[in-house]
Amino acid sequence: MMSTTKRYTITAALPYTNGPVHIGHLAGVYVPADIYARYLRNTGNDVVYVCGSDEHGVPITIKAKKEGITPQDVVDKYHAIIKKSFQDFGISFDNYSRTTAKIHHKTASEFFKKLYNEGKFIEETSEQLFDEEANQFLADRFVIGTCPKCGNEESYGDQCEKCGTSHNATDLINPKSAITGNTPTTKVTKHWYLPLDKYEKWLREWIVVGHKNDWKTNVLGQVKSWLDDGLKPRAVTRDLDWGIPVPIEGAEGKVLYVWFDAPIGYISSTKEWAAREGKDWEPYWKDKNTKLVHFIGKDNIVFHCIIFPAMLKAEGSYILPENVPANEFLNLEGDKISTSKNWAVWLHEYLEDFPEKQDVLRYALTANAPETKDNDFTWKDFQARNNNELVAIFGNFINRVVVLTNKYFDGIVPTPSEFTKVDTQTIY
Amino acid sequence: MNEFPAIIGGSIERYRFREASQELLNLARLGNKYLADEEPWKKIKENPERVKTIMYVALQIATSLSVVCEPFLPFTSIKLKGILNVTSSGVEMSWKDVSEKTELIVPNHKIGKPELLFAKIEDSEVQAQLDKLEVTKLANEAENKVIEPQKETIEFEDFSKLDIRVGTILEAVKVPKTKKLLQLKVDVGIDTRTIVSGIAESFNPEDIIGQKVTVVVNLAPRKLRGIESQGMILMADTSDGKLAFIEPENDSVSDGEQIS
Repeated sequence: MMSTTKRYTITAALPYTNGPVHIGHLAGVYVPADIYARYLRNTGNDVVYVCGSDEHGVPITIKAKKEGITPQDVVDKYHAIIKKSFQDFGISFDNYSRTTAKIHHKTASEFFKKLYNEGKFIEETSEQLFDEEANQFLADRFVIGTCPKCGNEESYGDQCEKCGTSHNATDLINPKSAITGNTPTTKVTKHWYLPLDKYEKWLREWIVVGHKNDWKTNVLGQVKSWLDDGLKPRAVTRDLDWGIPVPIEGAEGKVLYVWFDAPIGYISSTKEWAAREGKDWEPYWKDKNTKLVHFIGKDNIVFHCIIFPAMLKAEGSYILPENVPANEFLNLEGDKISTSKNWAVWLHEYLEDFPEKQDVLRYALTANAPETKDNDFTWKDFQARNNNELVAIFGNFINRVVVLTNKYFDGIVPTPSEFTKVDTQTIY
Repeated sequence: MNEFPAIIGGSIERYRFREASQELLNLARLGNKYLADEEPWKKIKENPERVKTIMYVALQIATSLSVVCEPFLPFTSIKLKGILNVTSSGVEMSWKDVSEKTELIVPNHKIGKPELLFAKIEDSEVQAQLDKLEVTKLANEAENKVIEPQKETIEFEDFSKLDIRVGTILEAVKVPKTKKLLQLKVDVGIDTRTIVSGIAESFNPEDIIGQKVTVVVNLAPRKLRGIESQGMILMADTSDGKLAFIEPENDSVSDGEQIS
């Protein structure tokens, strides 16, 4: 270890800006990524650690509608809360951006255009689910139905949260509109698809074969199961009015699919950082000696191990992740953490309730991190980690050293005499 | 001590952060055990020279901790480096230093005064958080409670067939071998009668003596567990799944008053 200096680009999953950050996010993504980034800086590497708010997509527009405000109001509110709580918690991002930033719209548009111009997309006019009453196409979270894979009756149009499968809205059995509850009709519309099936063989070789020894088994397992099921072309555009406009003629009223633009946010955030620091962003994303590592939760594996790499491969000039150490989920007091049910410990509330105790939560979440399986956070365990480990072991040792040095030697580090065997064993 | 930076770093590089955090704690354990075994507080009188060596060794471990804890406990690292006074020179020790050098803090260097790194977390603080979650749980249950849809319309004549009166519970005992049933004696103004009511999961018999209640008095008598019930007490469901009495808000309403 600790060989020569290396360049690292470390990304932490972009928090979705329809609510604040909770301990599940911290344990799964931000704390481990922060430990990793800080360690690599300590060992003298060239590190950029980036993140930002993911501000597009359907759930934000649903929340805005419900609260009678604009999507921009929603993201402005939560971006401010999230950004401040990360800062106060000591998450050492080199840059925290947002996907409504100009630089991101530009970066994502150019990325799409390049793929479009080089014929990497399939253009297809097809029947899509449509809600007549709301006069709107239904994709992603606008539609709920039965998952074709596991039978979960509350699967979303783009992903089933129960089995993790990612699919197209038209795959759902018994679809219902999340806006009106109506059974949707279908209507013809044009979209652009990334032909993931064409990348299947390459993905299998790169991940299942190439990384079989260094990627986490939970990640490899998910990737393998998707590849075994067979990949299908995936729409990268949507009929929506909130998002990044599809930058080609004849695409009015259409935006980029949120999972197309969000991972490009890592690139935009790096650009924003480089511009501010007077650096060149490109080596961090295009030099093959750079190590790119994505920290995410298990619900994002398909996007970071299948879709985004396929996008990067299609673009051609970018490096691929060296690793995607996805974590499992953290539960709270025996129940699944839920933003909509307010079943969570919110970071900004923790920081208020436990001032100056950032490190205690960082430690408790790390010592009990859901690395290989789902884990449970309990306040009793939090208390025990603090009282029995940080106070009784770490704190007690330091306190004794400092108190005794002050008491016996007036705070001056003494000159040692002969070392015993125990001394030597201890110090080496 | 010198092995820890490599052990911890190796775990981090393999994305095993739990393991890394426990190795960090093991370094503190090493220091703690060293002091507990060497007992400088017992040796300071008769062998101050030995104590010099002990404290020198312990200070090296403390300094190593201040560096390797940084990724995990960044606020503590800053505080500890401040206490040890190892940042004032502007030269921060690197991970490389603490894994290669055995002298991290040199003789004659002056350290600062003791400061508490971690404070005990009391039961009351934990209870406050658990209470907060309990409030959330109750709020969710209340929200999820399904309000029954309205029943079909009836005529006033149907309603006026009901004879509903105010009464007072005079006696209450549990019906043996049942979970839900209480046998009550209720004064309903016109008489005092026996009513069997399924309220035992919400109330203790001794707590409801003297309770004002609303009674349907002309309901056809019915035998429950061999006891004839001569009426029915009206109850409402509460959000936590218990039952609540419907009683007149005004104490001056006397038993037998009709409700219409």
